Amino acid sequence: MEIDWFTTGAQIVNFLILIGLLKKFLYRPIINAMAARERNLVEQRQAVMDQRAQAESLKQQYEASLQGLHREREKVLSEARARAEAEKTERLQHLDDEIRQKKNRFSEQMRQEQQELGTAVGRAIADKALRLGGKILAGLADQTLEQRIVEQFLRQLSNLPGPERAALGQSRTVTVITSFPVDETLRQRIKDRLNNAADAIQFEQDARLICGIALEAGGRSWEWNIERYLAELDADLLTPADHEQLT
Amino acid sequence: MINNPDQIILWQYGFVKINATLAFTWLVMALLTVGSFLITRRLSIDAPISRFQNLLEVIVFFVNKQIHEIGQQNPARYLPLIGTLFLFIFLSNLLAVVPGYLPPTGSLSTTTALAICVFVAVPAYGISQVGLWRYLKQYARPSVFMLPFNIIGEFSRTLALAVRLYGNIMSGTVVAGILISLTPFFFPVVMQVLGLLTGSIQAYIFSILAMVYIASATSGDQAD
Repeated sequence: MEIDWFTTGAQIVNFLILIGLLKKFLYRPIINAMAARERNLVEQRQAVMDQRAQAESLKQQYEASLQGLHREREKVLSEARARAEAEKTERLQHLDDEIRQKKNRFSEQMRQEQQELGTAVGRAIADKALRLGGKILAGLADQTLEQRIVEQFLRQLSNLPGPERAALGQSRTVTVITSFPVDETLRQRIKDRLNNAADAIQFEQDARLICGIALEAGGRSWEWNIERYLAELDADLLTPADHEQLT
Repeated sequence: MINNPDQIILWQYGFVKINATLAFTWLVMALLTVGSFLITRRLSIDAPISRFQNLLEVIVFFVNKQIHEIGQQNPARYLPLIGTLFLFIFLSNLLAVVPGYLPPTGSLSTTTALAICVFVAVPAYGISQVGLWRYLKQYARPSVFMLPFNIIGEFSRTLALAVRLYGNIMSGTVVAGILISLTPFFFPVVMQVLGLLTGSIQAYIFSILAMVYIASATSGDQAD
């Protein structure tokens, strides 16, 4: 256990050199690196805090914007709903009017068509009835019926109003037209009745008169036949009341 | 059996000589310097960092923390001295497991040199921190009659520093040498491991005591 003072001195120098070397190559770089990392961490933490605050602010802004958008959307939607409802009501009203007009037009058209159809049907029926009546009466016509027709016609002539009877009496030529052949007896009766009024009496036959007799004198004419009744029937059939009853 | 590396002379010219103590000291210095240079030349500021950088940072942080806990001051001023003491003694003792290596701390010359460094550093830090007059007043505390005892205590604790470290390391080396000659199988290995523990503790104790002495010298204002 002895001290070598040269070695001691050399070790002191060595130690001081080592302090210098480690200070340069160890402590300073490590301390600097640790300080830099600490600064970095502080800066990063601060940056994170700033970003978080910024994100929080942005989040609040977005939420506020979102709420505003929601409100705006609701407002727009409600307005759109109201407009759509009004549009719907208006269109429905329009359609309703249009339907009503079309319905009216259709009803009118139907009524006209029904009327025309009724008229055509009535006319056809009347025509058929007339033809049928004419045929029936033509078939039924015999001497007794012709005699009664002539008598009926002569009664009408007797009941003529005064002016007409005067006009008939002033006629020189009288033409008697019948739908059937007139025998001599009937001719004589007609002559007897008209004798005091006419100078000449001519007899003619016309099949268009259905079971009838006509008299023409002085430009005027009097007649009686079934066709007139059938014409009245025809007129009756073609009246609107009859059509409504038909439809 | 030579246990004192001072006695292993490698080169001599007059009174100038290079012995094993100096050679192994330079080896330790070279390892510390080159290792630090290799690691710190590519330091990373951002994560991830290399494991060696992490190791150095842990060491520096640990030393800084110890300095701060003991001295309650900014550790930057004391880190080079205390940190170098710890690293040098620790690595010197750690390399004792290498065959043929003799720890420089097993030389009383080396421990004396380290103790002298502390002996000089304590008043240097104290005077620079609290001033010459206030530092000198500490020797007269609690009364002027304690002045001789404080001065003797100053020297004796320096001596104790040197002898404590030297005794522990040298004894470990001696014990290992004796055990190798007696039972050259297994048991010396256990003692070597125990020597590692002892060496680490001695490095810690030496550094901590140095810091305690410095802290007591630099806290003169608080004592007043």
